[in-house]
Amino acid sequence: MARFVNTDTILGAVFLFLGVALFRVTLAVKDSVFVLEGDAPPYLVPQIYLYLWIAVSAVILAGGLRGRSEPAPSIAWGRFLGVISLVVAGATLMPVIGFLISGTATVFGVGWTLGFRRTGVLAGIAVASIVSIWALLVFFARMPLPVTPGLGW
Amino acid sequence: MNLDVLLSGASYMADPMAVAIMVLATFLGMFVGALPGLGTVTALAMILPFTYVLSAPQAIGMLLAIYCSSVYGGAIPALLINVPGTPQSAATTFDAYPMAKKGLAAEALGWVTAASALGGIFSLTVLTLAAPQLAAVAVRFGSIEIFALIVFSLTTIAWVSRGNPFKGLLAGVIGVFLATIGVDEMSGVSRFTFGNFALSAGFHIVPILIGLFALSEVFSTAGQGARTLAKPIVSTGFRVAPFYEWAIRWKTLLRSSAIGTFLGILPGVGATAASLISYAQARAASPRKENFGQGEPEGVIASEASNNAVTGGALVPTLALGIPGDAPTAVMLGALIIHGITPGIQLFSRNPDLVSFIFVALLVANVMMFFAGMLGAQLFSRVLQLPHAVVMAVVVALSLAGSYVIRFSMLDVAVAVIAGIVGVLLRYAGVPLAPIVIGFVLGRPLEVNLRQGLILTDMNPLGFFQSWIACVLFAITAMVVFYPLLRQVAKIRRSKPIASNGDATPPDGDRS
Repeated sequence: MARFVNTDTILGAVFLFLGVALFRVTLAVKDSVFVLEGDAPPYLVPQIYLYLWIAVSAVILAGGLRGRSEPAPSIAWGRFLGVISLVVAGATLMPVIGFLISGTATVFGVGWTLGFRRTGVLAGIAVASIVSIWALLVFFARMPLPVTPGLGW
Repeated sequence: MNLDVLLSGASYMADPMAVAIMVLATFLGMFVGALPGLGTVTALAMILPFTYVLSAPQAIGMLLAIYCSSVYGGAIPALLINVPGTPQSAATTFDAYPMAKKGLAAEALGWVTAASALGGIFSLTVLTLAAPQLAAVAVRFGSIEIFALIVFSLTTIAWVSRGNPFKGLLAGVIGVFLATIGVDEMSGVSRFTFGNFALSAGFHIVPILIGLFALSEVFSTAGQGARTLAKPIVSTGFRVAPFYEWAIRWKTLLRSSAIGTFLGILPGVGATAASLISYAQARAASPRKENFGQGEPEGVIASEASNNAVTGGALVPTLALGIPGDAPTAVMLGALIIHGITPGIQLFSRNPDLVSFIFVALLVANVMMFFAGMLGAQLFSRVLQLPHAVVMAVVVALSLAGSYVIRFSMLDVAVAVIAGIVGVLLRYAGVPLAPIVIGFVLGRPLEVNLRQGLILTDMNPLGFFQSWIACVLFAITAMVVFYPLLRQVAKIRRSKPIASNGDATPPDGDRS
């Protein structure tokens, strides 16, 4: 059984499932769309893509089931998930607490998680980089970033 | 292209702001290229949102300077720590690093810089001559022919990707599918928005690029564990070899530049393959072949001239046909569209000034790259001493801010983060990311031309074969797909009789 669980099987299965699900969506909505005679219906091209998507996913899945897969990479899961969580949290908090605070915390957190342990230097770099990006975009390029409520920046 | 048009294009360079931006971009491109892990596409993706406030010529000049200098920048760690900054410089390590180890780092840097600039200028010459001719031919293309051309390019790019070709195809299909999300331009129907109004406008290319290339690189680095790089050999200067040293190696320079330019024009081959092929050709043809791998400057010339020559070559189909040859030119194409310029058949007739400006800017970018290398390579060798963790953390901040300012929408930030997570998982599964971007860029013209073609042929797909241009392109596409498969089948057939003979006659050892 373990022979069948490899990167290609997972990749093929996930995309096959997604392809079929998306194809079902096109079948469900295509009848509700009015199409002029002789006109190409709006779901025609996505359906062609999805046929190809399903076929290619099935080939990859079949290859995986026959044991023809690339070796699974070794991943440092703690750091990997830690950095992803920090980036997701930084992006989620950006509109709530503003770019300056969320960005500084994210840079500090990511740097720390990736193994840079000189806290003072890292804090300085986090503040300097975020302030530089903020100044470049907001002052020079006149492109506003999410602000901290109550502070206005 | 006549001289007046070239001069009017060159007049954009009279804008001191444009020149200043290009100088800054040259150093920035070298900086990012010199950081192992971050490549040309990451550099372009991160800088793209900042070009919004620039005029079209300023933005194009900036992106071209980054494009050229980041390819060159990849050679700096290749020669100083034996780690190519970008995949394109992999072949540079073979001889540049041995030169540096012998104490010839300054000479190696000189060979790298001059070969890169000369290779870039060679390909620019080809671009200037070939692109208008190609565009003139392409004027005859209607929607059916354009559809066939996009199918050919996309299939080739996906099929010749490294590893399992089906994964390349899957990536291409994901890209074209993503382009269908949002309101359909031809019918006004919302597709795959699932009732989310924010998705009506579809995905923007920049968050997808930032996610797939910048954020996925950060996540991939996190998953790798502690990265250990060799202690850098700090460069002690910059020295261009005397003329006679070049004179005995001019053939390699010319051949490698030609290989790079030609492979750049072909979709999907890319600079990494170009530099490796040029290196192999140079080694085979050189009277000094025994020195290759031990610090032979000809090996450095072969790799660097060809990978920089790809830049001009890849721009030929991008500008003339609106079909990018690789991921960096897909970003360039996206940037041009963002600035209201549609590359392709009409560009040469509608915006001749802008086209000639692109040629001039590419020349200036290559010259700037030479001087920036001369002045700044010493400084950039210090870049390698920056802690990777800090660089990656700053990339995250740039990515979040860059994806937000595209449309001041948190949806774009979410798209970038999701693209980053999906991108790293696809990397782990061995799926190439470049076909996703190229598919996304070409997805819309592919669909529009297919549907227009179907309307023209009364919904009869066989009607597409009435165009001989389309027939030729479909035939080449079929060859690209089936030739490797047929070769594999032939190989299996050839090996079968040998295997059966082997069964009939057991090895000597078994006879006893």
